[in-house]
Amino acid sequence: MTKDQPAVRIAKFKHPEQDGFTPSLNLYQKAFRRIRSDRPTLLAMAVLGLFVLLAVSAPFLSETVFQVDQVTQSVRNKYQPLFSPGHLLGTDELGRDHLSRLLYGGRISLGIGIAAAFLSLGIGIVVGVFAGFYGGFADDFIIWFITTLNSIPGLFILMLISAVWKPTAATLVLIFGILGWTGITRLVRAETYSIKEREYIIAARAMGASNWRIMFIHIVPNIFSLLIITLSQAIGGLILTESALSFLGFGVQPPTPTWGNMLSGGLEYARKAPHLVYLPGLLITTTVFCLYLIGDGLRDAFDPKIAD
Amino acid sequence: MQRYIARRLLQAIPTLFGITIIVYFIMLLAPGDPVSLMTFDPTIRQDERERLAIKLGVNDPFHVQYLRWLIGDDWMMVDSNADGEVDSWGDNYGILRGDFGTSFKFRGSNPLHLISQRLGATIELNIAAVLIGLTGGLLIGLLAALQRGRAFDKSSRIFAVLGDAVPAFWFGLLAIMLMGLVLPRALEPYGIGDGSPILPMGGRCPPVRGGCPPIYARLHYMIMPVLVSSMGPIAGWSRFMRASMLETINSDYIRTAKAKGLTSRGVWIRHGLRNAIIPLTVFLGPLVFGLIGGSVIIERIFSWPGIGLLLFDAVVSRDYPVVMTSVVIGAILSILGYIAADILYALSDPRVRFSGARP
Repeated sequence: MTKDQPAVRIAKFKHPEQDGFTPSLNLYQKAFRRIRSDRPTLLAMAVLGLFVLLAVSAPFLSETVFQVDQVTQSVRNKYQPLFSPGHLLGTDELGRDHLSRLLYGGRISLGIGIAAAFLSLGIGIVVGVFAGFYGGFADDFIIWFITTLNSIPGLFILMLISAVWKPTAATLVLIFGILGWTGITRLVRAETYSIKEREYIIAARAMGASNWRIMFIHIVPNIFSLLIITLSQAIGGLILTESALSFLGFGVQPPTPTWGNMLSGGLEYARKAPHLVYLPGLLITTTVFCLYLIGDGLRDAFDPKIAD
Repeated sequence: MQRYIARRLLQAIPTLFGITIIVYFIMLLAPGDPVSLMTFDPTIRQDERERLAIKLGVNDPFHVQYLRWLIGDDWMMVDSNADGEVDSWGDNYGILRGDFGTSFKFRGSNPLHLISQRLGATIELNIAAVLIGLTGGLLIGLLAALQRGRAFDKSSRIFAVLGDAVPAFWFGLLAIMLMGLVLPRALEPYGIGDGSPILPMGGRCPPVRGGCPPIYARLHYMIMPVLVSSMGPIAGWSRFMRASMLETINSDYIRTAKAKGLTSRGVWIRHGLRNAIIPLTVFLGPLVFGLIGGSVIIERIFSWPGIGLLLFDAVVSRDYPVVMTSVVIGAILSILGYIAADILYALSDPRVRFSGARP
């Protein structure tokens, strides 16, 4: 086979699809095509998108559309059931509108999950690429640190830190980010290890690329698909952790609503108003379920081993 | 093999060392120093407080305080009467020799003693959860792999994702509400039960003096906590099992086994299942780890008197010695769980080489 044979081929088949050839797609185009025909994943994305939309427009929805707010208390309107007049999803133990609190709580819960996932992703990428690329002592130290941090049960250390510092939503993001990067680092490090020996990295080096350029222009984009999958699962995991922490009373403190602390607050009144327990839990479950489904769908979509 | 075990144990030492540093560092940054906690009484004079501060060594630099906590101070001279000069040997043995100080809340109790009282309850719950989780997960995963692409497979995959996504505490609460409120009310009109809870709502045994009866007499207390904490493992393991089984049955020796005319049950169970389980031992470590971490939640919902609940109570009442001890012990248990799983993996798969290769 001579060198210019491919050129001849391309010249011959000007309209590859008509001639029985499918045009070659890159990884992301292929993934997009697969996602497009993956109904469960699409459905999960739609539901999650709806939740995000609801959370973003919480002030508008509750004040303008439903004419309620999340702070007004009313002794006379305590424990209103679902679908009561003026309060579509009832009221809580202080007579506050439950729908409005769920909307605002979703803002905090989703916001914490998303922000913390991005923070830990950022830390994880930098540390992981660094450790994998340079190896040696820095790598050993980072691995020791990760092993150590991962040997302390997550909730134990979170309880410890939260009890010490009484976090707000913003500090909670910081805490989750600082504790949550280890898994992503391991992943990125392992990938970097295998990628840095490949030919295109050697080629880049031969052309005089600096270490920084190789790490962040050549290696990181090549593990990007992996990171997207990890991100959606990390957000789900973080929402679960936040709610567990809030349930124990160490998360964001009331009266700021999150799904987790609404659930633990509603616990005492489960007998009088079971919807205070059902609804926040249902929202957490649905959100995390969608995020995990999306993660699974993305994994299949990006998997080169699965044939179309 | 002994060398492998020895090396795994040696590797745990730096980890353990790091854990003590992290835990001590967090506690040092905690607001509310031990002196003001111990001298909450307003009748105590300021100079006495200062004496106590010197005696406890809270003014020493970080590394000195850390070393006194870690290895004790009975080998060094300390300033016991707070006159500015060292005069006598210290009397702490340090956590490495089992001296974790004394609990603030339970005056004079050794935190290790408190933990050893509670450890049995946690281990009992977690062993039961591991057994149920493994059995259920492996069974569902096996069936899903055999029924690949059919309804059972699809629904079990959805169920597995759902099992991961449901917060354990919410599931526990729903179980309590179902057994304590909804079902009794629904069954009462039909003459079944008297409207009282069907299963005990929490605790490890009826509140009697002199400890709990043997385990077979209080199994009904375990049903809900064990089911709730084994939900995550069932979900995870059914997925692992399905993937591993599918990988195994596509391998050459399965084709050979089929070709020589074995019954399909023989192929699936004797050749497939047994080989598919081996790689799963890798996940045993994380499973144990997750259960220890999750024990705080489960024990809190069901008021199960284990170390999770002990830690929770200690954090709430700011009983720092007990908090630090529980975290360190929890971490040690996790490390041991990981090591045990690794050893089991090495034992079950003779292909594993005990070389020092990087992960």
